[in-house]
Amino acid sequence: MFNSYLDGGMRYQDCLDTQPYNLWSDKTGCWAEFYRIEGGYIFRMLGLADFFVSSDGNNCICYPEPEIDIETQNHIFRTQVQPFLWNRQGKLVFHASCVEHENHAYAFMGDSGMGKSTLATALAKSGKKFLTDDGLLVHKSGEDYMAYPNDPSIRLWDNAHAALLLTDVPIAPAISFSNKLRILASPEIPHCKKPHTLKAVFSLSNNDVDELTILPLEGMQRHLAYSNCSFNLDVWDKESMAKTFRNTANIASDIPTYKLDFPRRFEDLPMVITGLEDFINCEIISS
Amino acid sequence: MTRERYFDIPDHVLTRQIDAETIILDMNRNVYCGLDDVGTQFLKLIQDNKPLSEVLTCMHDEYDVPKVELENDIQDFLEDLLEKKLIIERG
Repeated sequence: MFNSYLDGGMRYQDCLDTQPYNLWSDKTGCWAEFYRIEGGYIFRMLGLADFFVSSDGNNCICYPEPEIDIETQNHIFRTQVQPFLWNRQGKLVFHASCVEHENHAYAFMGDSGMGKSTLATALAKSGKKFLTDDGLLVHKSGEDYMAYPNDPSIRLWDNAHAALLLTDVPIAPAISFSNKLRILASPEIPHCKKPHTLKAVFSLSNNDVDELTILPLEGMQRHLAYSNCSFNLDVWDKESMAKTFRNTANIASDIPTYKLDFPRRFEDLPMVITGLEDFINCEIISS
Repeated sequence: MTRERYFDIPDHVLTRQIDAETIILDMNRNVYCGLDDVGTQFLKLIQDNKPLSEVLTCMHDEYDVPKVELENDIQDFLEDLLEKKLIIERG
């Protein structure tokens, strides 16, 4: 499922003679730009590397800045660029973390900051191996949707890392595009290396609640949950848009999907995890 | 004799029923919207190649609403869909 990329050689990021059609920003500012070029795209991770991606997503060339080491380059490719290659190849990729429980996969979809990684880490700590903390590839195989593992690391804000009481987890060297800590898979936070059938998806919501609330999503709301969280490199590409629409409609029709709200206090996290486990065991597996 | 009216969904409009609702993507305008169960029923009848007169009859059989009220509601809804180019009239 994973692609590889060609190393185009080191070079500094020059000004391009076109404007980016999309930007990625967070509270620290813009960190990625997207350009259309003939035959494909440039995915520019600012100050790190340019990735030239072919329109069909089958070819990728990386031009790293001279200071960028190979590990950073590979990590950026797997976690940031690969989801877009999959999207261009017509595959389904979501902003979702995912864990394995009793040989099935459970995904947690949501925008940045909604708690995907925190939930995946807390669930992994309680024994459920994580498949990924973001960029979840889902591939239909017969009647099943298979959820695929991605990078064996989880990016966490330092307050989440502290609150989760992670005592014995290795932390990877910092990567300059993110202030998050990157914790590596370990016996305390185990990683699942093989795909599993997706059993249910939880769409993370950030309503101000005092207790764990899980409600089934219906109709358009269910589709919107997938649509809003799908990776799409180019929303102006009609063919790609149509494919994403159909694929997300299919998965929305087939997979039980729930809206998940939980209190945003770290001290409540054990209660949230227990409630989630009970829900999965009693409402999903038992039914 | 009044000519029967038929409608089609243009190629740039994608529709999909999920549960009792229909999701619609207008790729020309990058607009996404949804129809409730009544709108879904209406669209399904149109997609089944039923003329408007038959659509009205089917909807009247399905919903306990006075005929005039139903016809007015359907007419408004139809015009809205036509104006937004989510459906087109055949011929």
